[in-house]
Amino acid sequence: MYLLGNHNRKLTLATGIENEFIKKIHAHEGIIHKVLGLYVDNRDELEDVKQEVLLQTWKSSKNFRGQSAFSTWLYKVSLNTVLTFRKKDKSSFTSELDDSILNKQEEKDAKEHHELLYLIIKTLDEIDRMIATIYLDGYKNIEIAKITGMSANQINVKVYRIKNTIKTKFKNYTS
Amino acid sequence: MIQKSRTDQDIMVAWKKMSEQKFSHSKIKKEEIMDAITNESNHAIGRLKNTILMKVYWCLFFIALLTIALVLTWGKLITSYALGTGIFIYMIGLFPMLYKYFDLKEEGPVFDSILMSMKHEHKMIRSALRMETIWGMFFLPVCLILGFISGLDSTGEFVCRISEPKILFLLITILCVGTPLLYLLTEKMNKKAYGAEMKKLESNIAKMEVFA
Repeated sequence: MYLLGNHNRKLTLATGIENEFIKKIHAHEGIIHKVLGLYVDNRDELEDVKQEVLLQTWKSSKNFRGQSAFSTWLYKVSLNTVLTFRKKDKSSFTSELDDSILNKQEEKDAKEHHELLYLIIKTLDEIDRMIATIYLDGYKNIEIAKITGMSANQINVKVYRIKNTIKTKFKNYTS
Repeated sequence: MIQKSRTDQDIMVAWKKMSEQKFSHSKIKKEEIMDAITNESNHAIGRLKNTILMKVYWCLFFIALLTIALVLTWGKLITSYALGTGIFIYMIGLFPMLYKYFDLKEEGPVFDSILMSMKHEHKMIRSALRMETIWGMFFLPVCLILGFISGLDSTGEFVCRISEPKILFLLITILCVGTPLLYLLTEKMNKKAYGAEMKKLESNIAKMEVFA
């Protein structure tokens, strides 16, 4: 009851800026879900990281001046947060999965392509996973270079290699 | 060639399905957003800001304590000097801590790219940790020595006793053993508290900087 009252108080006190921020988050929340889903496994941990991503987004929103699309900027903040955040037991939550998980998945249901792709992306290391996520969301190499801060040449090579890795594994487990 | 493009298409379809079905099952509620933005950050910089603030409070506490002691022992020359030096040293320690506290910005990517933000965060955490190490290494042994000198003065024979080889040896030992010991101790504590994050940041920065 107290919590409910507290929430209501907070909601009524939400300023115009906060309401605008909430609207923008709602419009692009898929990005947050995607980033969290690809980097965090534990459900309890997921809530903590989600809160941190929202907090960092809110704090950084003062620096957002609209030079890029809100979605691109949200990608930057979310990825930056998951890449620098550490879970409570002090180990990294973004460790990549072993390839053997793919064999198990194949035995289970090779027909579920999206499940397979999810596991393939999770076998990539943190940086490659970040590039793969942005690439698969339709960003061009030059945009990925801008978001990540890596050179365009580096991104071209990385994207080429990641694409090949994903394709090879995808083909192997679906054919 | 056809096979290749079919795989590409399959991957894009799978990605779309994954985005729609796998991650979008729980909508972020308005209350969640409001809660999150009023919460405290659990990020390394947020935690470092809190520990630095604690040290600022400690400095203020010791300055106040030493000032009271100075007033109470007014007239005892050596004790007054020792306490005055202590206050001065804590003042020296206080200002860089305050500067660092206000310098540490908790905002996420203040720069254009993820790599620049990560580098900035790494630099900020490293400089704050270095300051904490210096603080631990320098201020605590100095404090011990000042306390020791103040104690000597209460016996009223400071000048005689300070020149005693035994006392001098003890002071030098405090400095020689205490300083590296405290240095190692603060390094170890910082490593325990922030080592994993720093390692992760360094590894990711290295991966992003090295040309593949």
